[in-house]
Amino acid sequence: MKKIKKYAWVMDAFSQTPFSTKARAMKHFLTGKKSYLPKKKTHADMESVIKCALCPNMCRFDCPVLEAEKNEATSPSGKMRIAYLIETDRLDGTDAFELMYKCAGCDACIQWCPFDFSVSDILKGVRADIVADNRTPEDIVKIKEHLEKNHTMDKINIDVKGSEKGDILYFMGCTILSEKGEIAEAMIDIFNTVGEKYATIRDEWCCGAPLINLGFTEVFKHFAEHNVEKIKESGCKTVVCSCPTCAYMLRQVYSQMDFEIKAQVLHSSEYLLSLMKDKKIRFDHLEKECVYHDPCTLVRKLGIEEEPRKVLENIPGMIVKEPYFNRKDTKCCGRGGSLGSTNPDIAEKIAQKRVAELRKEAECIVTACPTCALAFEGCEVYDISEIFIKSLEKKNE
Amino acid sequence: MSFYIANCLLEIMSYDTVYQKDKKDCVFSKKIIEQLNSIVPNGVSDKEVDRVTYSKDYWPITLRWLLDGKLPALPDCIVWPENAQQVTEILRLANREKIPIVPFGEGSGVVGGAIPIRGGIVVDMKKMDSVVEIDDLGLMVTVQPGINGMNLERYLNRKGYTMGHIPQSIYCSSLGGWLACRAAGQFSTKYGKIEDMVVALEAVLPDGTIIKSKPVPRSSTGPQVEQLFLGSEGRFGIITEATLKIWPYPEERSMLSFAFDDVYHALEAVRKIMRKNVYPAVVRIYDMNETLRHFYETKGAKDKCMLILLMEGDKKLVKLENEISEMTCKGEGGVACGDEPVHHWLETRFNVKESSEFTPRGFIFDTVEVSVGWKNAPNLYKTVIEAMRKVGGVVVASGHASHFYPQGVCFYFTFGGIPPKDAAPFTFYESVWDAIMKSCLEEQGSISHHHGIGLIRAKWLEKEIGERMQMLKKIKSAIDPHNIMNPGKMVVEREEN
Repeated sequence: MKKIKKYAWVMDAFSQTPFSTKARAMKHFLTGKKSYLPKKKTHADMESVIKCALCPNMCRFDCPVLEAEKNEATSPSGKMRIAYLIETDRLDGTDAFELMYKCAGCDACIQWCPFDFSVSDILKGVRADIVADNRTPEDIVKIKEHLEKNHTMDKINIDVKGSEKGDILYFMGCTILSEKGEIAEAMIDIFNTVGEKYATIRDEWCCGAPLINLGFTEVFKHFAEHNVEKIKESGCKTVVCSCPTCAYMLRQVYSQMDFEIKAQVLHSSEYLLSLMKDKKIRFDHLEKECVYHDPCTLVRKLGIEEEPRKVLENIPGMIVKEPYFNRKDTKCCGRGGSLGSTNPDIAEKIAQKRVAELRKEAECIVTACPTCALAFEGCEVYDISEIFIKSLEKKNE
Repeated sequence: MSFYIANCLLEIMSYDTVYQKDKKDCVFSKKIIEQLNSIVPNGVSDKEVDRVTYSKDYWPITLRWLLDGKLPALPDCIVWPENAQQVTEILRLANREKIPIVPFGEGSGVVGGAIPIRGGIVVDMKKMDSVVEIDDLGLMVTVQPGINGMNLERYLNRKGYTMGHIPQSIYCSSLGGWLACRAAGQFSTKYGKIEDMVVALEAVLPDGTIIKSKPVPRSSTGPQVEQLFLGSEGRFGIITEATLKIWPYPEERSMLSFAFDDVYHALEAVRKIMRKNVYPAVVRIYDMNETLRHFYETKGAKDKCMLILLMEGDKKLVKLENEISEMTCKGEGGVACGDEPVHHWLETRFNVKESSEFTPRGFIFDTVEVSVGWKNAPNLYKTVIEAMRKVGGVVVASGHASHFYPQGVCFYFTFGGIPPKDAAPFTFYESVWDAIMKSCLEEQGSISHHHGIGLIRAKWLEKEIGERMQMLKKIKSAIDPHNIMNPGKMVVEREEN
């Protein structure tokens, strides 16, 4: 009924229109769309591509890639217009294909979109079409080949091993395995302190987010199969991820793609807050002033904004400041959506901007994502688990 | 010189230049690219993907062209200057080589003003987007023109100010574009149009000269020539900095809405409010069709015309404005509908969905804004609506009034429909435009209130401004003798090449 009322103005206008116009308009209305769709079957949701391409770019002001690049082509609708020309075989060439990977996957666009579109989600389909047509840019293929060979995004640089079985499985994710081992160490310390029976996967593979992002859906399936099997073997009831993207993949994307994980999947902030609620842990005073940065995937994909704040606020002595753009209005760290791998220069520019913003509030940045922490390297930056354990360490001194 | 040389406006508009893949090699001299690169290191592109992107603005008919695989034009390259000195050097080079220059903000203009119809260099101003200074004592902000509107307003809000310039395009337009088109925001009845907010300007002339005015409130030092840049649509040079009025962020907001039997009673109510020197920030009157479209959930709005009012500023003043507005509206037969319709408008005012939803279904539509004095306002509304309806193929013909002055009003008309059998899309589109322009002029209206001239209105400008056209042409040729600045727009000249 509401929908009928919503379009009453159109019906009213039609009622005052001559029959010949009415009939032709109706024909256009029902069949017009088809003439603009590509003849071939596409992975991309072409109706969304077209709608986004025809928009005046209402989300552009909040797009971190455009903000860094200042090039219309990198604006959300700009990318979609080129995507449409690619999908309809009117435009090709490396520059056009490479443009399709210039997205931070931050989903800031959703907030301003009258259709609730995620540009990054639409682009995943376009990239899958580029893959299907064997037109993938060489650097992107290399990322896939590296993953196929090594199973993680970078060389593993840590040696943190739990049991093979346990009630809790700590899923580390590529960034921690290669670059941010200190976050895993903090989590392991926490597990040990509370006496948790935890496990880790000996040969943990990438959660597959980069593969999905870059359009390699079939390759992703092998990764999902492997991880699901390993999680099952661990016998865990709960999977804890420090990385919001891993949590999002295991919690939502795997099941959407028919890979079922029976265990509950938690982000570390949810797990840490549950420890506080269960009173399994007590804090000593930790004199620290920090600013909290909301990771895009955590706040926009998983809807987790209160948990990390509550964890930090419950630590005595902690002063937590908010940046001007916080919670769902957060700004991207630059390395989301695999942008750190595909376009590191753009990622770096975005990170610098966010760091400047955060440091207006405090020198010390706390976040809840290893990739954000990596993006902010060079500053005093901690994952929420590191702050958590610091407070405990002080007590034990 | 350019990839697609469009020799004249009529030509481009009649055959919808078609993008041809087999001719994609850029013929623009590589030497020019090298020279531009030396002026703006890492700030030049002649990549096909960028040239295609900068081939259009948001002129609605070009959306149809996009789906049809047609491009209205192609620039030869794009440059991104970072300061006024670089702009100077770019313009000097273009002037010397007689290369067209098209200044570009965010491409949200709806009249084709930023389409590089003669190729050349698109100068994208987005890297010049800094806030230079806020003067709290003088309530002024100095900004570079490439800043996005929403980012500017957010910046000001964060510091405790507002500019009060909130166009529907605020998310997707730039300060430079606003200035070049004499833009208006939804809160214009209180804060004015962009030209009312400008205190000082810096701009670069086609020969590279930088002109700059002082940020003083008023000056009796002859005509203020920098004001030529307001509404110049890139024809006189490139704006590189502006000082604008700002206001402390309003402490109070109050909202009212009324249902009237017709547009005319609502107009009369607003005219009387204006006459009392009361300026609500937002005043919008919707005709019956648009009331049905936007306020179908409002009780008492069926078959009526809605008026919404939003007052903001100092608490006491807002209270007073509220009282006067309410009393005046009731006196003209308005039935109070509370503040909910205004909240609804606030929540939905940026939901721009129509282009995306209807263009792929073969519909052609557009919006046309005109202004008129109170004396002729009722007739103009009636005449334009009737004229739109008479064009074969028109399905929707509606209007609202959205910017008010003690002297008159801006009407914002919407039309939509499908081309009659055997009529080309552009022919249909142009017929409706012609009908609106003609009726507007007959009723003593001005053919544009805030979207500008661009391509679609160019042929009507002489009828609008009469003898002033010759003066404008003389000024143009004095400032830009080689006609490099955004050629083919607004002041249409006999073509060279």
